[in-house]
Amino acid sequence: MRVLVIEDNAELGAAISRGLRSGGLTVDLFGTAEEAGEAWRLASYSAVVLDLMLPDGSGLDVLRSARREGLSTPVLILTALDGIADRIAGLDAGADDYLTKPFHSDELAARIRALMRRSKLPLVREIEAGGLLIDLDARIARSGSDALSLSRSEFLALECLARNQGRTCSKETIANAIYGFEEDWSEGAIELHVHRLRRKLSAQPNMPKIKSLRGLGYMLVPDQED
Amino acid sequence: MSVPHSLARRLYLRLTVVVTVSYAIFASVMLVDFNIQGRIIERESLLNLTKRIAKSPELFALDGEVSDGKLTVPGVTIRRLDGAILVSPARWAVDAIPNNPLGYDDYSIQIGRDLRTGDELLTVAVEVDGSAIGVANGPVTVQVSRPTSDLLPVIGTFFRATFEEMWWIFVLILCVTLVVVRSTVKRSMRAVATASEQAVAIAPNDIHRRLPLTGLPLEIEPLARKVNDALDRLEKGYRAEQAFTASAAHELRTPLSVLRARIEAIPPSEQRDHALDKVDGMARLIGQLLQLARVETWQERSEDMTDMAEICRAVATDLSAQVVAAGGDIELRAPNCDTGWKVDRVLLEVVVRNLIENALRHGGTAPRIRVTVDRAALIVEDDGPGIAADDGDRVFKAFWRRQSSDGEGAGIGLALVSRIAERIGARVEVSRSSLGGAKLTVSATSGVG
Repeated sequence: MRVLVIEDNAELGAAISRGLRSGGLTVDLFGTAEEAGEAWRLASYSAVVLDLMLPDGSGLDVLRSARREGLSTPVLILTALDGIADRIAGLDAGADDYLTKPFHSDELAARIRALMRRSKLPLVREIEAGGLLIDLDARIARSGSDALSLSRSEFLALECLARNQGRTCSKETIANAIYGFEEDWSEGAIELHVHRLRRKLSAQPNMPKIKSLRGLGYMLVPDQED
Repeated sequence: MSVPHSLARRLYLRLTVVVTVSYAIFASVMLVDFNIQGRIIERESLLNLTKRIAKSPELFALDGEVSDGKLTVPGVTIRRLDGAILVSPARWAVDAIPNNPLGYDDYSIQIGRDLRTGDELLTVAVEVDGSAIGVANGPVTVQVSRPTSDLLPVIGTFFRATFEEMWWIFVLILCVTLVVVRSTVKRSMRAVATASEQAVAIAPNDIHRRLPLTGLPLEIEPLARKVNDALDRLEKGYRAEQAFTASAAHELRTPLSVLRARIEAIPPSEQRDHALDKVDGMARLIGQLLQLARVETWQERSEDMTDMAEICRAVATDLSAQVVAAGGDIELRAPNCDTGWKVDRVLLEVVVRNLIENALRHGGTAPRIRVTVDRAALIVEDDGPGIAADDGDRVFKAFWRRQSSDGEGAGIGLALVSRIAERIGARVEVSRSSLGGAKLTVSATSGVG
């Protein structure tokens, strides 16, 4: 998997590249908007890390022109500005995620992995969550050789939670993953699906847990060693 | 003049005065003219009369004896050529002695004076044969006098008659003037009204808008131009401050990222973790200082008004990962629908974020945080040690922090919260939560929501 890093600070760029490479990714680093835009067009990347303040222009412009050209690579914006307004400007321009400087290199790597998981690129056919492997083609979730027996709704809920590991999924997000646009859903139904899914996960060792956050939604977290 | 006044009203008053005064001047000139004309007419009429007397004196009762068929002429003095008075008028004693009436014109005109009353008299004299009228033999002068004051009532009547016929012209001129003034003022002020409407639209979310200069009267245009210049300067300052915040953020955070990356590259040790904590603390401080700067320069915009519940849900969801990573739990109690409490998204995001981060930092080892929001209030509770009653107000002061605190945080978070609350007219209170820790309540007082 190849990641494009656009960061004008050479030392920070090198550190990001080092961090991502140690996670098994191939990294191309560019320091200007022009070079980066060209590289983005020529090579096919699984994800892009984009700094907003570049010496020859705004990262947002690079992003906008790439989106206009139909490049759908998931993009994580790296920026010094952290207000909601700045974040919305970034998301409006076509970014998929947003990380404020300074950041933990582990978090950056995790976010990049999450981005690639969430993206609908055909190469992502498997999602790993704790000891669980979710095969999207076969529609099977298994741990080692033991497959979980899940209903369609439970599987889709698990997929949604696994794509968003470490983030809170609202009931609405899960409902959108399970049901079509015109189907009705109730909070009770979602609760029921998640409840059953949680019971099936907890029946086996080393499974991730589903944490409930009242009023907010659910989060898939790795099993704590206790 | 410092008293506000209506231009139109002032013009009405002044023009009415001007028209009235001009009419008065016109009337006085007419009066003088009537007087002069009256005197000329009077002179002609006296001259005609005396000429007729000279032609046929027998037709007039000049000697005072009124008999049939004779016309009486008042104010006749008959003198011998040497000046001796033969017949004197009943009413006047004329002091003017006529020149030799046999002069070039056959008559003489003089201004005399009535010796008894002092009135001015106009007298005309001709020479007549005395025997023709039966007062003397030989030539005599017949002097006919009339007081000029006799003219006044005539002129007065004439003057009145004229003005009684002409008053409507005065009224017409006045009306036309006022109508013209009114329409001129109205038309000139229409551009001013348009400019005023534009001025109303100049709002914090529309700081690039300017007053239109086209159509403004030349007298008002400089004012509008200067106002626009002032707006230019304000906008420039505002943009400069925004740009400063953005570049300050970049300049401060990028080196910190480099620092963090370098420390992360060191093999794990207690010192490394300590250094990373320090970097994170500094990053948080920079974030809060930037928030402070942004809040100070932030201009509320109507399109940023969002429901309080939505902001709470977004921020709580965003921070839930941190809470869960710390082994804690966060709960949001909000109505499914909107609360109806509409607030500025940017400002209230700072409030909610700081309240939750504060709860996360000061909560227990596995912090439990509860966020409750409804129409009237936003409440953030934690299960930490809480805030002592003595510190209730001090926590809202910037850079204040508890003596016993672990050294984390610079104490800007709650100061920011209280500053924003003050700005939007809300109230922040500290109390004890049923979870055991602090309970911070932001209440929407009247006027908000």
